[in-house]
Amino acid sequence: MAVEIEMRARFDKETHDQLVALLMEKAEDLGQDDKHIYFFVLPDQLLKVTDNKSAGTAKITLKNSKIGQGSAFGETEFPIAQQDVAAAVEVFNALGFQEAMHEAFNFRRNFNFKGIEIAVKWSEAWGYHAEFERLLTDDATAAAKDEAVAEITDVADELGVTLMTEDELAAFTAAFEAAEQARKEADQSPAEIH
Amino acid sequence: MSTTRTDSLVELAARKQLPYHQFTDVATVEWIKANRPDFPPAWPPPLRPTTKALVERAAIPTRWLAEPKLADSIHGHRHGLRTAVLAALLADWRGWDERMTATAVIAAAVHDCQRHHDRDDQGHGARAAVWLAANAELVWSHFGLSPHTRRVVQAATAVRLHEVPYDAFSAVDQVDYARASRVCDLVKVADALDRYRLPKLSWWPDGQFVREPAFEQLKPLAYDLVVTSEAAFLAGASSAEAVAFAVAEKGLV
Repeated sequence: MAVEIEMRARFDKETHDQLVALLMEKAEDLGQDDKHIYFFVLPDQLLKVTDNKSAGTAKITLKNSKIGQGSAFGETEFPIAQQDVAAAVEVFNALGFQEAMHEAFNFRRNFNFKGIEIAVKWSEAWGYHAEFERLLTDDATAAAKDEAVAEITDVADELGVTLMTEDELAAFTAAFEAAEQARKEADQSPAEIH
Repeated sequence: MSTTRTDSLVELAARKQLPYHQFTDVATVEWIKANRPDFPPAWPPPLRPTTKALVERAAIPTRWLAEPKLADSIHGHRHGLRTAVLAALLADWRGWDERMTATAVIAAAVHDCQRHHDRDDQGHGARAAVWLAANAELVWSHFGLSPHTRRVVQAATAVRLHEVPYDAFSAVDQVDYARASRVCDLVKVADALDRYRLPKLSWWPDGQFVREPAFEQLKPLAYDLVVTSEAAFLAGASSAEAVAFAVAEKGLV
C-alpha cells in the first residue's frame, strides 16, 4: 500500500486564475485530467470509483483515512476498464454502500512543481480548490512523512496558496456530508401533483 | 447509422430536420464558439447573497419534468438553470426585493418543465403554469421559501405567457399580464437571452421580442454562460454541475 501525503486549499476564482497562470509559467503542465468520481464515505475509509474522463481510463481506490483525519493516506488502487465504471458502482451499491455514496464531476488540471503534484480543480461542492500531493512508499518513516508535509507547505507558500488545516478540512467535509444527507432526504419529499 | 445520431443540431437545423428531442453535440458547441458576436465590454454582474442562495437551489429534480427525456436536452436542466441565473441577475440589476426576485427565479427555473418535446410545443407554458400552481408548496419549499398566493399567481402567469409573443396577447392574456407585468417581462428576457444555445443564428437573442433596455449589455454574459456550460456538459459534467461551473467561471458566486 502506497502512502499519499495530501494537503488541500480552497480559494476564489481570482486566486484560481492567478495560481494557474503562475503554474503555467513555473511548473510542468501535465494536462487536463477531468474525472467523474463516485465516493463511498465509510466510517473510517473512503472508497472511490473514478472515471477518468480526459484520460479515458478508470480505477477503484480505497483510502484508509478520510479527509480531515490527517494528511497521510494509505491507498490501495487498481485500474478497471472505463466501460466497467457503472457496473463497479452498481456492485458497491448492492453491497449496501448506496446510502454512503455521492458523486461529483471534477474539472482538473495537473501540474508538477518541485516534485509535488498539484491538481487544480473545480467541483460543485468544493468550488475552486487545489490538491498538493507527494506519494511515498508504504515503508516511509514518520520523518519522511513530516518532510513531505514540509515540502508541500513550502511549495504552497511559494505559490501564495494558504493550505487548509485539518480542523478546517474536517469542518468542511462534515458540513458537506450533512448537506448531502439533507439533499437526499429532500429527494424523498412527496411527489408532485399532475 | 441513424441520421439523428451522427448529424449535428446545426446541420439538422439547416435542413429543417430537428428531431423532437434535441441534444447538443461537439460540432454545435464549436459552431456557437465560431459565431461569437462582436460584443461590447461585458457588464459586471455581482449577485446579492440572498440571490446567490436562490441560484444555488435553482436545479429542479428531473421528476418534475413532464418528459424526463428532456432533462439534458436543449430545453432541459441547463436551459432552466441558465434562465434562472439570468433572471436572478436581472432582478438584482433592477434592485428588486427578495420576494420579487424569488418569484422571477422560480418562474424561470420551471418555465419549460412541462414540455413534451424540443420543437414548437404549443401550450407548454400553460401546462407548466397549471403544474406550478398545483405544486406551489413543493416548488417554493425546494427554494427554502413559503408560497404566497399573490407570488404564485405572478410566477404562474409569467410561466404561461413566456411562450406567447407580446403582439399575440389575447384580451385575457392582457388582463393577466397587467397583474404580473414585471415578472413576465423579466422571465421573457431571461429566456430570450439563453437562445445562444440554439443551432441557427436567426434564432439567437433578438431585443425586438423583449422589453429590457439593458438587453444588449446582458448578451455577452448570456453567451459565455451557454458556451462554458455546454462545453462542460460535453466534457462529462451533469447539467447542474455544468451550469454551476459556468456561473463560477463568470465570477457570479
